[in-house]
Amino acid sequence: MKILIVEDEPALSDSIKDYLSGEGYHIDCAFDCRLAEEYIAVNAYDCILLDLMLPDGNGLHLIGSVKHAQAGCGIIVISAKNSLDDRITGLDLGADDYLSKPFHLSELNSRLKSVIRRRHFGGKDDLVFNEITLDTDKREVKIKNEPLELTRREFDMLLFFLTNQERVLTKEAITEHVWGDDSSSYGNLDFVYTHIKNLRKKLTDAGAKDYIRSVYGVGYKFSGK
Amino acid sequence: MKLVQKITRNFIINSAVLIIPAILAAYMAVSFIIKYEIDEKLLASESDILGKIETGVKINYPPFIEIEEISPAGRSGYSISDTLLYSAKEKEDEPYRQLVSYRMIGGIPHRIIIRSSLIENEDLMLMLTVIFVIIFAMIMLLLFVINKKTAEKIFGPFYQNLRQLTSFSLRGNSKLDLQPSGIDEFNELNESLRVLSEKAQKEYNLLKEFTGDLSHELQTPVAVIKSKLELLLQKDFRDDEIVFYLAEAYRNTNRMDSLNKSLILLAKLESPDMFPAEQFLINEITEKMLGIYSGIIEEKDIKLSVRTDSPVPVSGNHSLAEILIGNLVSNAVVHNIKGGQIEINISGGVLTVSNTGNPPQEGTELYFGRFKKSASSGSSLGLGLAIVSKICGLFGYEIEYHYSDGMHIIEIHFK
Repeated sequence: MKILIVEDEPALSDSIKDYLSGEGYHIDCAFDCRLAEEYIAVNAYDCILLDLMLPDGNGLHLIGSVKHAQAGCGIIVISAKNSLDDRITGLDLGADDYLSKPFHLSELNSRLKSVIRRRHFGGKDDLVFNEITLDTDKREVKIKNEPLELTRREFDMLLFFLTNQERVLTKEAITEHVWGDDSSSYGNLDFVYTHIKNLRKKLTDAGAKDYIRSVYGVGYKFSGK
Repeated sequence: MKLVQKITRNFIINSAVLIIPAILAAYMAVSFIIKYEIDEKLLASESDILGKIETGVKINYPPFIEIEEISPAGRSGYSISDTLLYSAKEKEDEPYRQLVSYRMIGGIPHRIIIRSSLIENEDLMLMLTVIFVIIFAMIMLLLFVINKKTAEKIFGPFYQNLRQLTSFSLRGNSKLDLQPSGIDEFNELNESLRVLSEKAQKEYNLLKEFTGDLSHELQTPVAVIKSKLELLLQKDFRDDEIVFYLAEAYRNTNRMDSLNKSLILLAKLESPDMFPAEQFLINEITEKMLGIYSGIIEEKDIKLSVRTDSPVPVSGNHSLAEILIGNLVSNAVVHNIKGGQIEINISGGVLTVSNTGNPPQEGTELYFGRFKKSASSGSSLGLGLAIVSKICGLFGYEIEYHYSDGMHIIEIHFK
């Protein structure tokens, strides 16, 4: 899998690269439109992470040229400009997803995987982890081939864990992924614990191993080790 | 007191002070002239009478003319004085002016008294005084009316400008359009106000832009810090203390991020044309928002009751309505007590959110200000209700907040 990160802030670009490198991707980094165009002309990418605010212009026009040259390539637009306009224009031009800055790296990773899944397998890709199988299209879970009933939120949570295995997922990231963008802004997030507890119970009751570990004060980690 | 009233009042008081002595002086002058005229007349009558007596005519016509012989002769000359004589007809004393003169007529000393009744003169004086008073009163009335009309004309533009100043807002980009009054002082005032308002507006816009720019500029560094902390958290630290510090730093970076997002939203709310008008259902948005906060509601063991009757579509902007209702719900959840309750009532275009919570320490209207929060709200940003009131202001929704029977009640009247 080849990924291109178009982001003018090297520190942020590095963070993304660091986080994603654990997933076995080949990653290129471009810091402006011109460089991005050169990369796109030479390489075929599976997904491009595109920041819109670039030193040599708005990155929106890159979407069109990517769509034209590399039809199979997914695009996730990243922008500090959290304006609805950018989001709509970006999605209209053919971007697959939109993420506003600042974002959780785990969220970006999850979105990236979702885009790649949709692009490559038409979304009909089963996520398998040992005895757990997730059908992301039908939103069904099977443990040892036995269907398991999960609530919408429990499913979202499990999917988030499976796309970020062996990673510490912060309570904030989980809350925002499951309950929506602004849900972590207010109050304490202790309620996440209750939901994780329920999910763990359902999984272990169905015969799965308990893969979810709590990381004190920070969040949770889905680990097969 | 209005300036016009003050001026008029001053005018009346000063006029009265001047006019009363003026009337008195006029009275005295007139009475002096009249007396002088009477004295002249008395003297003229005397010489008339003397002439007639010398021709041998006997004249006696009391009380107006009394001539009698006196002896011995000793006195001569004349004197004029005021006197009162009893009138049998009127049964009272009547005032007279009398001339008493001693003359030798045919070698015999005579005393001649000639009197002139002053009653007619008193009537005349009275008439004159009344006329004086009437004339003065009319002049004053006329001046008063003219003064008032002039003042109104002069102060008309002034009051109009005053009304404009009252409704002037730094937020709107509308300029002060002050009426020229043709009076230098007022024109100077207008000019000063115009310069002042433009300056204030400019400063305000600069400040607004600064806040907006600052928030935008902060986004990138915050994003970098956040990502680095997230990467650090992936490392396997043996030392729990390090993880704890990292977790704290991460939590507060997120707080800063939310704060920043709220400030950006507040800055964006300054330009209402960015938000297209739409129709939406209050109950739909409320349900969606309650979904987001369902986790915290469960965790805090809060009893939630929602009552909806006859939902009507209201106008506004959909995404702002989500923020508005989301903030109200979040507010009701975050500032609630464990095991408390939330009541949501949607009826027509009115949304009422009531929740249990600690009593407010200060006036409830203060919570609509920025960074106002109660001591117990912990990590709350204190911007929620500021955003709510801003959105309400943008679409002309009415908002009420009061505390009664242990419940915080916020009512929004959508239009």
